[in-house]
Amino acid sequence: MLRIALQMLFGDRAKFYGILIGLTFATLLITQQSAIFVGLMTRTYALIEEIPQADLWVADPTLQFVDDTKPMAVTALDRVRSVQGVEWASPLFKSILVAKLPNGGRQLCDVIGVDDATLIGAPATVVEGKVEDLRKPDAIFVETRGARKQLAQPATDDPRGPKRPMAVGDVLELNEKRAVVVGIAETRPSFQNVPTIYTTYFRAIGFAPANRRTLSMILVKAAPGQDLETLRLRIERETGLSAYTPGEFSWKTLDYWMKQTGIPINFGIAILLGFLVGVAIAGQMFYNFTLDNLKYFGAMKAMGATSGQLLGMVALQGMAAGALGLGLGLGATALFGLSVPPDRLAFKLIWQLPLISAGAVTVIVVGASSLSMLKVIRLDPKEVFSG
Amino acid sequence: MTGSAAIHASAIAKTYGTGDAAVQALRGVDLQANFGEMVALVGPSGCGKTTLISILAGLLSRDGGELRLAGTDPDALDNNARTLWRREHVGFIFQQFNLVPQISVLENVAIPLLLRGDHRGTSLERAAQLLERVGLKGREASQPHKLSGGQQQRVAIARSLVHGPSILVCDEPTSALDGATGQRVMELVREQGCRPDRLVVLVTHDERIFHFADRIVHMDDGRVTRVVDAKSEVAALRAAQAMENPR
Amino acid sequence: MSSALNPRVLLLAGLAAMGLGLTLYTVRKQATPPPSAPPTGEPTRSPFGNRVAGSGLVEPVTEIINVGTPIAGVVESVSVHEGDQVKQGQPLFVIDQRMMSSQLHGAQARLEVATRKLQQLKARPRKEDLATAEAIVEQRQAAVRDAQQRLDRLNQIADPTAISPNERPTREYELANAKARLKEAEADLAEVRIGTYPEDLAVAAADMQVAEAEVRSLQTDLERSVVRAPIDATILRVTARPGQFASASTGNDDGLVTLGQLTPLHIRVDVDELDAWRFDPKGRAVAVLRGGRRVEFPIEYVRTVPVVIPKRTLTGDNAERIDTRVLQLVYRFVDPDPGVLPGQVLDVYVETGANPDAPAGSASGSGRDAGAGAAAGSGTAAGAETGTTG
Repeated sequence: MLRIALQMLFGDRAKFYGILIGLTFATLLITQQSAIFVGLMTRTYALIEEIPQADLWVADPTLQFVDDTKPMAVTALDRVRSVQGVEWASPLFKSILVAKLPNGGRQLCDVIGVDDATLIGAPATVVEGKVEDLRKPDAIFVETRGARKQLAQPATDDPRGPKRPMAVGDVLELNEKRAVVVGIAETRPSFQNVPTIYTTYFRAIGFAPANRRTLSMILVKAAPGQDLETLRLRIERETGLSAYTPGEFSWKTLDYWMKQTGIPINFGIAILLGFLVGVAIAGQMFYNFTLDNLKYFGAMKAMGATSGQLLGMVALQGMAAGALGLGLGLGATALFGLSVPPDRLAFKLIWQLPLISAGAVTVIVVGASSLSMLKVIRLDPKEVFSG
Repeated sequence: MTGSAAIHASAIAKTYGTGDAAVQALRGVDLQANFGEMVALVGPSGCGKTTLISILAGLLSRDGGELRLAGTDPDALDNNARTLWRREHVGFIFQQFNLVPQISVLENVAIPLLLRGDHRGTSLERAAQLLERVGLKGREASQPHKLSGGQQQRVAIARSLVHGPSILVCDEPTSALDGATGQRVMELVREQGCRPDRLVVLVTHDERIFHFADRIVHMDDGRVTRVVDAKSEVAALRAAQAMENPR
Repeated sequence: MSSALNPRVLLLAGLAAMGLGLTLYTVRKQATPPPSAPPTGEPTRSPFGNRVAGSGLVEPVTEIINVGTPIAGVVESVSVHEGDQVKQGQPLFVIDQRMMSSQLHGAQARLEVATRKLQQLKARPRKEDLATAEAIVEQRQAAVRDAQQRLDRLNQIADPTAISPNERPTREYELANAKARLKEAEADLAEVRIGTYPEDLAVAAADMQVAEAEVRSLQTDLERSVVRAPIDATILRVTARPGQFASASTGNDDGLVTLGQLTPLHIRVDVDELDAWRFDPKGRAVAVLRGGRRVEFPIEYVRTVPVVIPKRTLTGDNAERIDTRVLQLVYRFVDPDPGVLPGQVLDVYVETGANPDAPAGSASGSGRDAGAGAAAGSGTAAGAETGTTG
């Protein structure tokens, strides 16, 4: 009978495709919008993911998110190093500075200063040059996206002519100080879409305008076997600073952007719209489909189909339509995500999203099926008779 | 079961609704029917015959009276057991055939077997045999709507008989068909459906098929008004028709 | 004969399955984290569980001595090079002396004048003057005697008429006159005999002392224009260049010659004032070289600077920015030649008592001290091995 249920579904082409298109579209809308949302939101803590060596991030307690710079006294580094269970601690400088480009243009840049001795925090995927080149005088690294876009330079003498990406050897000025590009690195795109410049900690301080405090963040590696939570609390207690695991720090950052911007609402509306489309088209059609078949269900009921059997049939029909619609919708989403270059659009499909979409489709299908089932259950078998 | 009473009903009552809106559909129906016979249930619209066959087919509970269907009181069974009982013992032929349009003729015939969980292969084999018996060999794979009305009703006959029911309920089986087709369909019902261990209950107003029945039960206003032998009834009818429309 | 799985539906099911597969692929692909950069050098790590960390600046045992010049002037010559070993008193450089030399010549001439003048005064009375005065006195005495005799002879004449009335007064006047002239000659003689007055002599002597002092002062200046090593030391930096003007003003951090005694080397450790309470001078301590190789140097406590001072950033452009306050500790490298140089910055870890988790429980209990002391002994041995690898 389950097979017959499927044949009933697939046999009614008009309604079947209607349901399928509705579910596919709903899945596409929900998944794609939420993937863009997730992509956008995960970019807010790209820097944290960029430096996986750190077990803990230590920052000023008033810091709200990773791009928020509340510099600490330089001795904070030694204070963190003094805490038992800290394997090593490394300084990190982070600030937005104005760069004067070779063509005279000005561009805000996110300057990251990594520990001079170890270069911990330097970009992992180096496209051109060597990370060690950061030790050369006035050396900086730029990342590919920024190099291609905001930092691009005229390829010819004509300043309005075609542009080429910033390349090794180009000379910038950061705060009236010379900076030479010695390498290009590939990094995760950041939320604020500002070119990132990497250099060493002390050079970064030199680039920055005079500030009493210069230490933006401290990267901490826990000693082998050290319980991270214990260490986190110990650092906070002994130094009065705040320590976060990368996950906590990411959430804190995410939380800030979620609460401080309208992004979640915008995307929430889009996702809700997708859901409503699903309900309106697919749910409605599925319900109509059941209504159309009601007399056959009635005949079967008379012929001895139990309620369980009938519900099973409706449920299977819903599940089949749901699974197909979900699969097609997810496939379309994935194709979309794979075809759009990441610097054009933030798109991140995390494993939860297909499940959420599956949940939404399930809600739509179960909702429509439930109404249909109610109709089937309430069906009075004697209505099969003409009298 | 041969020889015993297929239906033993006495003082069956059924009321729809409550209070002022209450409608008494059946006001004490007594009916006896045996296996091997075909009983026609006739009467004007609203006389209660649909209610009665619903009760006789185990689809509806009665409010009062005694009922034994092939020795079983369906109201003594719970809902599920009654469904399972119906699945085994009752066959249906509907006025509108009620063939599922999206599946083949063969699968439509097999539905009663599939419903009770029989193996698909054997069910389809059995359905094919039945189709052959109703003269539709070779049309197994057809979609129901590709067949004529008579053929569709023959498919329905095959479906109603495929599981070997004790009681076959035919609800206006010829209303959707022209006269000749109706005759042929009823011949088929008579030929394939009537067996010593089966009672056929025919609900109809079509006087042209009265003669297929053994007995005719007249109903009006929720009561059985009279039960007559079909032969005499048919003879009387023919006489009356002859008087009205002399040729 | 089943139409349930007709090609159309199969296609859709296949597409849906592909869609799911594609989704899984995308999820996995996007979830794979890109590789992380391996650190180009090992970060420094503490060998101790409980410790205080600080950054330490290597300095000579004498600290860094910035030798300046006491007198301003153009540098004439520099006689040492960076890295030279010098003895105390060895000349380092010389400031132009020509001006001082010429001034000295003048002063010496003035001294000569004063000296002669004093000698001249001291030589009085001269014999010749005395003889002349005595002769005049004798001559005047003779004149007095002559006038007396002539008056006596007049008085011996009895006849008053034999004598003119004016004769007697004339003779008396001549005697008085002779006596007065004798007195005058005697006074002159007395003056000659005295020679120079002591007051005049004192003035001349003082004049000579002034001249002498001037000469000595100029000689000292001349001596000071040769700048010498204050102690036995190694020359660390030489910024003096011949021909360069060297100012004697105070407050310039960079001396013309920077020197210090390099054995043993000290390391001056900045510890945040907030961590200062946890510091234990008896705790073992190591200095760790930053970056690259992991080299640890055992170090020994020398002293604590008993005042908390503003922290200065040791490198970078903003050297003068006051950041926070630090306690400074001075340690000595156990290894006499650790292979580090003054001015180098190392991370320093000092072991502390076992319970850093209780902020109030500062250093207390004798067991803790004993333990730390024993640990320090073994620590230096172990540390010496690691130290020699570097």
